[in-house]
Amino acid sequence: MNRLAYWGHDYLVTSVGAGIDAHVNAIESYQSGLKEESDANGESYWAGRIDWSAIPQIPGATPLENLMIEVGGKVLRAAKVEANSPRLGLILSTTKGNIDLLQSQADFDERVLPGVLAQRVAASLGITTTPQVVCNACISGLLTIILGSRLIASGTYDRVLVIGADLMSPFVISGFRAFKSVSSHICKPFDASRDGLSMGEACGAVLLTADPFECDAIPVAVKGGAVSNDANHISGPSRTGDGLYLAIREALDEAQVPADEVDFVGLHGTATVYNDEMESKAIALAGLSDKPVNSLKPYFGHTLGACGVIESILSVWQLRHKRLWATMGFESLGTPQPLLVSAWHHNLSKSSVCVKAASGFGGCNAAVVFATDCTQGSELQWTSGKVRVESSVRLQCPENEDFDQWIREQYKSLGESNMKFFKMDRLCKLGYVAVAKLLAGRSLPEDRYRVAVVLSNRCSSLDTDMRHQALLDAGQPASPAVFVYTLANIVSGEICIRHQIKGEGWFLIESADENVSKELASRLLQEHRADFVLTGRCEMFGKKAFTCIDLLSLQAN
Amino acid sequence: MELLIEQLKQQMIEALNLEEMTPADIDTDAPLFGEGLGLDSIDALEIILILEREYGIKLTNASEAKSHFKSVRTLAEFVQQNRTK
Repeated sequence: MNRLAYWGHDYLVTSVGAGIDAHVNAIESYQSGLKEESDANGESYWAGRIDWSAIPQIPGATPLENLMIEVGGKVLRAAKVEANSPRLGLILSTTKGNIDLLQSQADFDERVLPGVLAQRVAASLGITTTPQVVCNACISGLLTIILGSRLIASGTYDRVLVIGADLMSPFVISGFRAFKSVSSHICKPFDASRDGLSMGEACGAVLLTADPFECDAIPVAVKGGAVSNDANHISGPSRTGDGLYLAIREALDEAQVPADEVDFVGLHGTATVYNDEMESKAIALAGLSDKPVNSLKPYFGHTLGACGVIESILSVWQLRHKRLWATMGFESLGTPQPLLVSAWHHNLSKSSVCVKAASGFGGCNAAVVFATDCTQGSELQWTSGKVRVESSVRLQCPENEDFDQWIREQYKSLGESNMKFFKMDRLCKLGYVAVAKLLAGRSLPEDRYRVAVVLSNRCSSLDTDMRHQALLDAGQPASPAVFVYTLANIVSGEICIRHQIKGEGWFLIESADENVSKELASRLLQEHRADFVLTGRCEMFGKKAFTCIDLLSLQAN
Repeated sequence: MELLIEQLKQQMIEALNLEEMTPADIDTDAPLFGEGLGLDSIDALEIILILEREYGIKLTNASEAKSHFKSVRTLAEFVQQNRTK
């Protein structure tokens, strides 16, 4: 019941190359995998594409599936573990999965559902336990590591294979470019001249394990992990940095590591003006301004659902090599709070604790603490207390009614006047109205950091994905107001903004199990990570629009 | 100019999903962002799209647009001076 999760075998493929050694060598010699490319209008930008000729193709598998199976398989083979063990779990991190199947496809291909993707990857790898999928924007990768570690700590599994991947599909490129957040140069995190991100595709996998000595390298433990919500804006990072600060502080608390003992921080560092600004503020609040930080995105770009996994892998290897890699291309600091950034690699005199952070659309933040000191941190507080359903709501659009009309009436009945409601996509409107009804006449506790939101569905943001794809197919420019909703976790973000909820936020995609959100919510309560959790399913696709959400608490013994 | 202002308001109502608003409800001189109409950064990007699509004006980033996006009137003045269609 009280174990740590350790970093086992790992592997990654990015535009830099394949495998740990390829990355160490390229990064040590300041080589980026990003290359210049241009769109139909002749506008250029830099992007990180992987070498697909090196990825074995399985008949009938999609490119993303081939990539996940290759990278995940490499890890399982290196670790020599029995894939079909009931003690081995699988968690995938992806923001868009097989979204490129939406292109010019007349018939709906169910492989576009991330839960189906997960089952196909699990089957190919020979994993027999039910796979989980985290789809929570750019913190998805860190969330899979946090979830995997917790499942090991709680004794659910002995090993969890985590795989994070996303591809550079036209779907994603067009959206980010419509957001005007893509630089025309190689991204320059934290720099005064930064003007946006560079995109990349990648896949990384790690086997988290209860055995510290499973791989032939310095043992590294996942000592703490935390998640928080800004409750500020769905696409704009917090102006104060308090959300990310909270995640870092809670992760350090769980690891029982004072800020003083942190040796370096691997930041998200996307090189958009506002992200890097926010991170500098969070670092200041966390008392880490005098610790060296870096962003590895100039080497392989922002890899979305993969970034938390691949950047954690490389953070662990920096920790082991006592090296802090450069934020390549950095010239002069351009953040409101000080950050210790360098354009050159450094040796670290002490290298035992590293913090890895990430933030994403929807206002989500996550932080993980890695440490070479593998003695147990804080005792995992666990209560087997009974989970109580405080209240529940069920909403379903009748089949013969028009959803847009129906949800407008549902909203009107709330008596609210929130201009933002009408800007939301259908999935968000559904979740927003359901939670407003659930919480009507009930006050949440003052401390909104102790309230969490855990939602799941099967169709992710597919309803809005189709709208975005329809614009592209018609040759029209992508709409930022549509694209921002092509992430399923935005519905949690809208709920958090409306009710100022700042605790943990998780959006899971159901594969075989419809109850994934409720199970995770119950664990958050039993592990004392939240006092109240809003949890349930929220599904919106075609004629299917339904949600059932519960407010859970832990019954006092 | 008045015609252009009216047209811009109508295009904004449609593109920004300003539910149940009519052009008459939008104060020509009120701030678009923060107070006033309460638009945000995503709305700003959608307005950039309107300028591109309807008036052939190309803006590369949102900060370049900032000074022209104070109110519907400043937006209309900017469109009048820079439109290519």
